[in-house]
Amino acid sequence: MLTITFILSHSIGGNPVYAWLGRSAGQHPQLIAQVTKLYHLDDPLWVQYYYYLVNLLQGNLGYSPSRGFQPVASVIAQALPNTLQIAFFALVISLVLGIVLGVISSLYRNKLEDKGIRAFYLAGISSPAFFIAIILLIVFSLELHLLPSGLSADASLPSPSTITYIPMLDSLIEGNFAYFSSSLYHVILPALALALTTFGVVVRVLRSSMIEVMHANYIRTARAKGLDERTVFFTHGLRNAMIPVVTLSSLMVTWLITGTIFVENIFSYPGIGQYVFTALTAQDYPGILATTLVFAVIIVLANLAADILYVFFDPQIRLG
Amino acid sequence: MPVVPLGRPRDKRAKAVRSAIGLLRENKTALAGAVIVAVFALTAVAVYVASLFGITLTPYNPIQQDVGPLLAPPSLAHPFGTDLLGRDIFSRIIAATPNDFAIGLVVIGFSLVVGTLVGSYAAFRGGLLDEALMRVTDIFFALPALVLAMAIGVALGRGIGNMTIALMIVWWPPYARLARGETLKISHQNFIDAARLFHLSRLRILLKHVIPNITTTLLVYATLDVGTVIVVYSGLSYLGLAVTPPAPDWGEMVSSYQAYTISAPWLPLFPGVIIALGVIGFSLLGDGLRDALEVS
Repeated sequence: MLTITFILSHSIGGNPVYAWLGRSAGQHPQLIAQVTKLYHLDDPLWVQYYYYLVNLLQGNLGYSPSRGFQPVASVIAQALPNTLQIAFFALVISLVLGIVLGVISSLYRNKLEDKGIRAFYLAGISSPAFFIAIILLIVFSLELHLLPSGLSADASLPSPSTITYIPMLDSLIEGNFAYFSSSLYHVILPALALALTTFGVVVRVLRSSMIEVMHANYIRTARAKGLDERTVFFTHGLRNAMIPVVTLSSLMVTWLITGTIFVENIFSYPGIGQYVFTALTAQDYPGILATTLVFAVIIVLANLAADILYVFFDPQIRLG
Repeated sequence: MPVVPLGRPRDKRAKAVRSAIGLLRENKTALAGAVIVAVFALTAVAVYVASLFGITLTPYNPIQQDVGPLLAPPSLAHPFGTDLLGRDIFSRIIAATPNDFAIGLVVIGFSLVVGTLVGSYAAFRGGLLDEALMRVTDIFFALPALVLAMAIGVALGRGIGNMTIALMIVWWPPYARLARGETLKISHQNFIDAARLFHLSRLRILLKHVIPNITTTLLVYATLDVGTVIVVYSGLSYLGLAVTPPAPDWGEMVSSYQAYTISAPWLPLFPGVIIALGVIGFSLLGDGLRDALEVS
């Protein structure tokens, strides 16, 4: 994975020094020589790769030309918590919306409610994240003035001290409720924009698994035991129908993380997605490499989390 | 026992066409999907063919400035309004149709062919080759398609052709997986054993007996997937990796008009609606096909 992203990002054409220092750098040959030497740009690729691996093992992801040569690790440390905030809320909204509508859809199969929900989610999954983000921006922020159109919190508020590195958690722990509510206001629109692109898949999967589960023999057994319909539906039906949704959640994390590239850019939310965008336009190799790596790590962790959650939902899977 | 007549291939094909028409007559949403796809396809082909003869089909020249007032809201003369440079949005959207549509079809077509051949051959051969191919596809599943395509696209350089190549590289592995699974499902059925008994070559069995039996599933998946390609491509285009302005492209239009969201909201809205509409068309059609052919 590392190797692939390294080779890819280094095969970008053109001399990156110009992109980093600006066109006028051509008048200062010593400067170019200095930067070239500093980043081993004149060495063969495998030597550059060696330096990269050694640095990576030491926790050094390189320096980011698009962010004034700050260490990439510190850019990511600042940006990642914001992205996690968006992704977390987007996942929650998406699951809640998806589960509620999925259950309703399965109860009213092929009736008007089911068809209405289908039209709604189809519009959602068919739209690119940037399109939904712009619609929400126009409606909620420019027309109704309900929610802010950018940044992760009010710039006038003092930021909370770093405890967990996640600003919203930190402000809660500190009792800084002004900051917390401000960041909550700022996260709603980007998270909603992302959630609207993914919840439809939850509806679709839950609807079909719910219909299948409710025809299973153990549901008939539960009914025969004389359990009331509510218990049968929720504890026997829904819990089993949730298993495919858990599998889906790890996939959804993948989509949500990808979507942050667009959504953060539209809402000027200072996260990894925005960093990807600027790194892309500025030929910032270390930035592109590191963000791709971060994406891959998040996705691996999400898969692991889904595997652990199975145990909770599926009685047939037990640890040990 | 009723006598089942053995249909000649031509009869089979006619039957398939008849059942497709029957599907559209029964399933209203699939019909809607087919109509949307047909409108997009006709527009794309018409614009492309006309451009070969140097004819501009769009009401205005899509890249010419000042064909109307600046930042005009939608009107009869300019149904989708005009942008800051006085270019007609409707003409720009129409002019971009061949690109966006062709990329969807080219990427899916490539993935379908390569994925089917690779996946079914791997499953049929089994052993080390199968194992190796599946590990290769694993790599592609570790990262989202857009991020991978973005990385490859950055490496290749900007441009529609390079983005198409990047998408083709990341798109075929799921098809190989699907084809492999389907091949494994049928490879132990009697008619395959019968073919083996006739000492047909492995390649012949694969091409004549295995692949025709797995194409339905793959085609349904592909129809649903064209929309996904269009969305991901519009993302790459939005990131500025596909076309160089002033050439029109849906995704690029949304990102360059985004700054005017406050003063002229129709600018980013119309290209976005068109992307969503195209994708919905393919989803509805794909869903209808899946229900009709009972592919899970």
